[in-house]
Amino acid sequence: MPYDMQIDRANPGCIIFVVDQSNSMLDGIAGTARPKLDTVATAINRFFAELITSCEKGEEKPRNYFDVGLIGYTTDPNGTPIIKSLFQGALEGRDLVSISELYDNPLEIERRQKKEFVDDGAGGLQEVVKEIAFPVWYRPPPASEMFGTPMCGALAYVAQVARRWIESHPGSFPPLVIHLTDGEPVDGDPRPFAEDLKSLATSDGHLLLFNCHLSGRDAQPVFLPATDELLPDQYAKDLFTMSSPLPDKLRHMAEVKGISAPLGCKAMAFNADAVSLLKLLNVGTQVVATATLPPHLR
Amino acid sequence: MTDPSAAEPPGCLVILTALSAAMAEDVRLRLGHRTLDDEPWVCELPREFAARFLVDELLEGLANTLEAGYPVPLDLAVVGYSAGEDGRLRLVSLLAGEEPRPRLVPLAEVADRPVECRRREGEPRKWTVAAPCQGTAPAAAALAEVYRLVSVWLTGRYTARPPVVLHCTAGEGLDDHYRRVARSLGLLVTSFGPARLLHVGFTPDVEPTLCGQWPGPAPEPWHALFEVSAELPAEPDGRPARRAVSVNDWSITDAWSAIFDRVPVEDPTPWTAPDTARFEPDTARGMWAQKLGNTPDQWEDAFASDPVAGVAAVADGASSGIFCRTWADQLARRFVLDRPDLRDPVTLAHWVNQLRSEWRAAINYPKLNWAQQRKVDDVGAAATLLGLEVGPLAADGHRPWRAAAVGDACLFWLRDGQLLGSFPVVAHDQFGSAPLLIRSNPGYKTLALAAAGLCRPGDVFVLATDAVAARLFRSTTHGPGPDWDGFETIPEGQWRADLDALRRGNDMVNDDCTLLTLRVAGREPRSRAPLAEPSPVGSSSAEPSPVEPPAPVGAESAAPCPPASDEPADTAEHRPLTMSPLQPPAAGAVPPPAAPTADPEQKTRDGFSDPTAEPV
Repeated sequence: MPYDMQIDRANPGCIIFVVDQSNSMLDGIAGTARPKLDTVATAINRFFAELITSCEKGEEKPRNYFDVGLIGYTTDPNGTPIIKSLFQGALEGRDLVSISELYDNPLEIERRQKKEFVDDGAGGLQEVVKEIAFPVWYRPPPASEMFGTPMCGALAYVAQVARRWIESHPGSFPPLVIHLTDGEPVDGDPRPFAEDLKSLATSDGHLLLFNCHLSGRDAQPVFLPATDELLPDQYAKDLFTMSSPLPDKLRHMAEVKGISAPLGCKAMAFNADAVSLLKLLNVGTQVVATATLPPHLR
Repeated sequence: MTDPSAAEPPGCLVILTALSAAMAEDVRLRLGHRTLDDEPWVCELPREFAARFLVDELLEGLANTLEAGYPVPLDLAVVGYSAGEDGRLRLVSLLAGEEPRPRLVPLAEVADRPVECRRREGEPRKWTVAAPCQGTAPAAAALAEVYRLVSVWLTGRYTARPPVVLHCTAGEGLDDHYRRVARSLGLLVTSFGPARLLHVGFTPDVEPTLCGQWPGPAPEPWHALFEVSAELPAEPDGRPARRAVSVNDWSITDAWSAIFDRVPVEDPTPWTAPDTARFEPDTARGMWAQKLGNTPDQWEDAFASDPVAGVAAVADGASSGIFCRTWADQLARRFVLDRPDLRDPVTLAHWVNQLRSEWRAAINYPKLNWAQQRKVDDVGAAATLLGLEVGPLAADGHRPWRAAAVGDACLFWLRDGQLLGSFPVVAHDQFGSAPLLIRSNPGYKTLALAAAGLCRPGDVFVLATDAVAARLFRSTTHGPGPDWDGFETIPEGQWRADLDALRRGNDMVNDDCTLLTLRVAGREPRSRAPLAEPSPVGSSSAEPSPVEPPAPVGAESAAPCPPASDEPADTAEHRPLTMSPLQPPAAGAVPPPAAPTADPEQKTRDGFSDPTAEPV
């Protein structure tokens, strides 16, 4: 299980987002008033844009290096699970879509402003405001459609999707499942379901389950922890247990990109930015973070 | 107050010591050329002890010099090496108080550490630690690691003093592979000349002999080391100019000379002067193949050469960048046209900045979609670059050559079908997924590593991007070696089929492949008869043809030769120019300004440019 299969069009990767759309996701994150699901929506949209960008080679369309899934879960007011693909528009109902399909079908491309510092030509830096495109694929549902947290059912659903993908890509880099939740499942102990999911494998390695815990607590963000000591509550600790150990290959890639990934660390984040995950998955010759070069070459 | 070290160029010193079982055995030696009652003091001591004493003595001298207030801006490493039953190389730092993993440490840092004293007065302190001596000593693999250490240190430091490597050995593993790596080390140059490799051997049956005092030809394997060892200048009233090979004896003055003697090397070579062909135009050739699974227009390497002018380049676009093919193509073509002196960081930065503007214009940024613009902003293009130039023929029959590299595209230098040396990589395991790159986006430093030497008519240079180069190294160390001359004649289709077979069998990394081969011309460029039955790339099953062993090249210093003034100048208009196949323009892209063009039909037809095509 070496996790060294190169990701390319012949052997694409698979990334599946699983989003908790329960009522508690409307609560503020990290001691703020901003709803957790708002943070999740921004992270997913940014992640998709970054993923497409990483597949961009300057050709007519970005290359299909990945198949992408976006699956949400909640219940109706009576507690009946609603677990389904969250893609809308032309992609509605699809569990997995290709990068070029994703590129072709955002719901909208917003224009947002971004501050940048550029060389002012006189040895200093000048702040400029640049308008950038911000494509949107995912918008949170109205609060009236958000109820319970059928996490076990959602993990089982994802396992089916991943199993089907593995059947048609037995030699590829294994699927990466990114689960965004604040915990509190209503349908039992999710740990056995997580174990089932992680037992799926291609010839290159077991499926990787990455849990991103979103919490109302104003505690320090954590990314790729090696122990659960810094995690503030039982939900976070349970998610730590459920998360895959980060394979050495990805750990090394994290270090090359300047991300701390201690020996024995797990694929987990607590109130941290999931977009950094993408840095672990780049393909081919890397454009290295200068921090890793010897000082005189930086 | 001025910094006294400001005028002193930096340097690096690597001491490499074998830690094989043989190093634990006693040998009759003279400890640092000492005398007792005016007689040579010869005694029996374990070799490892003698080597450690030698190193401690040298470090003691350096530390004391530093302490006395003299600037010694030196980074140093002391590396022990051996191999166990599995044959795998083990390297360990022998500096006291240092992590086991070898690295270069500033002398000032080492000198500040508390170190143990030896019992006798006048003896050096214990700057290094004893290590167990077991197994064998794979000298070639160890020196290859030293090459890597030195080459990283030397990148962007052309004005440094020449790196010094001192190798203490019991004579094991000093084979052809070792000499190839040693010769490659001697190709690395600074403005004060090539890197300097010194040998101190410990062996029974050889009388203690200092370099410069061999009474006759040294016995093997020591004699064969002369051509790859540094030439030290004559001592006033002492030893003559000499090759740094001592056995069972040493003098600290030799290491001192290698570290501190330096005279700037003038380079009068008219690299860009008009000339008759410097490479033989009819054998100059570039071949390429895109990564398996990609279409030809997705090949992201590039090459260019002007055999008459004696210049060639290959570039390798990074697969995680965008519009890398355009960038790689620009770098290779413009190197051949502009002939920038990449050794000078200011010239290099200026040249790259100019290309960055041209690249941005070529990709037509305003017309790109959001994802492309974002990728251009965040990453841009990146590529490695290797450039080679050969100078005019000197009266003694040599031509000077020089090369510069950013990243791991690799140069192989062949004579009579034998690999003399390579640059800037010397082993198949030295290619990683994160080489140094030239970036298209502003704000990134570009630093090159430089090499130089003297070649002869008939010598062949092969330039290859990383996947091909790694395979060529593997084939060199694990078999009879590639049929280097065959690259001049092998049908490109066959070469590609061979690559495909290797890549499908996971015997080679699936990556873009590029190989450029050029033969150094004599006074009159000659035609060559096609070679019979060329072998596949990197997997030659044919027996190597018996050839004379390569003549010493270490003896050919990197000092440039005067130009041959009696050669008629050629005009550029009849000059065949080998180029990468043209890239289909990106959506909305405009061709880079001033880039030469070649016949696109020719490119499409046979897949690589024909050096005999119409001049451009």
